[in-house]
Amino acid sequence: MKTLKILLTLGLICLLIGCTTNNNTSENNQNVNFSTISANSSIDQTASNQAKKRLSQREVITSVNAVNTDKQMIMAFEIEHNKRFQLTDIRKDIQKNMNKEFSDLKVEVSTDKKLVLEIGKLEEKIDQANISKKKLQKEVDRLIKLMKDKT
Amino acid sequence: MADKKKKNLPPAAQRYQTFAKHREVKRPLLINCIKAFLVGGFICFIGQIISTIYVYFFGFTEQTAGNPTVATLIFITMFLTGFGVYDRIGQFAGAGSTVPVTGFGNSVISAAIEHRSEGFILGVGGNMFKLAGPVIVYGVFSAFVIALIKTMLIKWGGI
Repeated sequence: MKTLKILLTLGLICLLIGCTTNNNTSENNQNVNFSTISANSSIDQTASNQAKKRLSQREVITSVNAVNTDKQMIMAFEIEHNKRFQLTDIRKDIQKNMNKEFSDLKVEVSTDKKLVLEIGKLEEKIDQANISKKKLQKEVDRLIKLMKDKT
Repeated sequence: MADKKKKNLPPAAQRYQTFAKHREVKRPLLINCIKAFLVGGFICFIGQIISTIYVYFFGFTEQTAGNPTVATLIFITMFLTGFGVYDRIGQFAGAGSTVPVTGFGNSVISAAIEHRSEGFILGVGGNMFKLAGPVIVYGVFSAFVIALIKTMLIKWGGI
């Protein structure tokens, strides 16, 4: 009985601590992890640079990666860990915003770690200009397929 | 409910029950819970490591890394069960070792080992899911019920 009480109190304490909203988000995170791709690279990346800048203004986002071709743009971002419960909502919201903002591109948004890594690698390749347009298109197609993969 | 049951017993049995209750060795509930929490958490930690490895070094996304992670964990459990290590872990941690998917693997493999002497078809094949069968049956059934509730809520509740 006594141990049960102790367990219950422990559980309650954990629950209450978990429920407190931390209001000290005043530390406006300026250090969003993103790199704009230089304009002199052969493939035009102004759209994704713009999107990155726009997204980095959001407080919850900690890192953004984006790559675009002429018709498509793929982006992946990471959010603060304690906001992960609202991950789906945030992703949907951003997807909607980006669709509106870049209506001439087909935008795909993801929050998957794999996509963050892969798009980061692709960015680096574009920045160093050692990828052709055709290859980029192929890679983007592959990543979109990866995003849609559910099982 | 326990009191109701007791009233139907003869007085001698009632007296014996109170007698036994006082002498019974108390289970260390809190310590058992902590052990289960730590060991179960450690198993999940290993699972997370495996899943992260699949994401970083193989072509899996966070979504798709789940299946190979489960397979790997069950594969590891197969060896641990065969070498008799998992029994020790189970004795120490209790529910902490049975609730994660490794417990499921253990129940399949230990049943398979146990009935090996009865042959491969009727022994191993027939008894493999003796312990794990209920897990599958009620897992599927509860998934069905939850899906039904969700569908109803979405169709009629407008969520």
